[in-house]
Amino acid sequence: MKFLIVDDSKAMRMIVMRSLRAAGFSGLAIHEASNGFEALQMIRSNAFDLVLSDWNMPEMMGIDLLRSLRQESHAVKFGFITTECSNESLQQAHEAGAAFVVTKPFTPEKLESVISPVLNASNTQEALPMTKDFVAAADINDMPTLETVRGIMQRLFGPETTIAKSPLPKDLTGPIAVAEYMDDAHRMRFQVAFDLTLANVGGAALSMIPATTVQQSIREKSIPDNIFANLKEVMNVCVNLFDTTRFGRLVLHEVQLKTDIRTMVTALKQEGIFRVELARYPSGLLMIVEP
Amino acid sequence: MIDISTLRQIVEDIISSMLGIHWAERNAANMMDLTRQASIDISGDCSAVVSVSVNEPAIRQMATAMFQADAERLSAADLQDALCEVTNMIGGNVKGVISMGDSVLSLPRYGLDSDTHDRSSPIPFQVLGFLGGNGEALVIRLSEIVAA
Repeated sequence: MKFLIVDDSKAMRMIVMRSLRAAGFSGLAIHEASNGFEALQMIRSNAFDLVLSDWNMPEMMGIDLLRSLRQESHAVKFGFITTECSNESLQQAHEAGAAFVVTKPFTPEKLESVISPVLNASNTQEALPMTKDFVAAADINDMPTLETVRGIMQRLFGPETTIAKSPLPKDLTGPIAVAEYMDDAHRMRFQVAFDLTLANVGGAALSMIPATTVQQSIREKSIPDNIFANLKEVMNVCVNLFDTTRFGRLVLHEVQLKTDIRTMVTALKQEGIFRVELARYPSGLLMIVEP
Repeated sequence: MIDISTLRQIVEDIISSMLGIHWAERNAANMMDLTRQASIDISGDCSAVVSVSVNEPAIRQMATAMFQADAERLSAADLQDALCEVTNMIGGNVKGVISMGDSVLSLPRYGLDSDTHDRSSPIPFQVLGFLGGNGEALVIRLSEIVAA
């Protein structure tokens, strides 16, 4: 495989390269560019399997690089490795066609968890901009099993993570983080919802942010930007909850915070509600939602 | 807003978890010879300046960890690059906490930047200091955050 790492910092390019090797990506041919303009020239004349780009660079920013590529109908798979983690930046990245955004600092495990699903995708369409032309799926009957949920959550958060089926709490209130997954035809097939606790915990655990910080956010009914950025990575991995053989492929479209959850609650299926508890954090709910 | 424990967590995530450097938090007022500095601006819905000052042993250890190379083989540009990237990561994560989304991060500036202090004076800084076992010293200063 052939990767291109785009970052104006040589030190960070070396860290990314080492992290890729530590994450188990072997046999990689890694090329480097120090800004977006240089990368654009290289991508035009080389077939890369993945571009990993910083956001904030001189000459040409990472987001401008991605937009230029898509304007040229170039479908190379593209992810950001950046300190940019505001909701606005994430929205821009996904609208432009980024497959993921990893925030610095990161670990090899974090890189692996977002890159592998992208590389395993059957074609490059995953990296193309996704339309908002949602078409609700009519036949949602593929709820992930308890074992599937456990496998994904433990892969993400470690073997001490416990999962159990749960009834729907009567006092469930918003805001709730809802991830939407779309198929090749840009139809929304599934939604995964995390209650506010699990949304904060899941995002925090990836960066080892302590439980005390999480509890403050939960009390304030909010999700800090850096935790929300991590949450999107968690939701990206959650695509693996679903058996996609019937759809060909599913892609995370977006993650939203929804305050009015009455409609969502009525669409919940009992077999799709799981209580997730990470070591040293309060437990929260993961819910599969019928769109 | 950002409290000192969140700032500490951000710095430790970068220095300890990512670079594998373990320095102890110490009173920054006692740290001398911080001859290298990089700073970065956050501007937009809120404004702030993050500056990172280090002494020679600290910048060499950070660069050694980032480049995985002997300190003697690192160029002046490598040292500058390492400090700027650490500053960029700290600044970006601070922005993620303090901004509601509509703000931008500048590129890091390298060098002793008296403007960084002057611009924020007399508004107090939040200051964190770290000291390594071989005299490495690192001080992070965060100016007061000014809402637009």
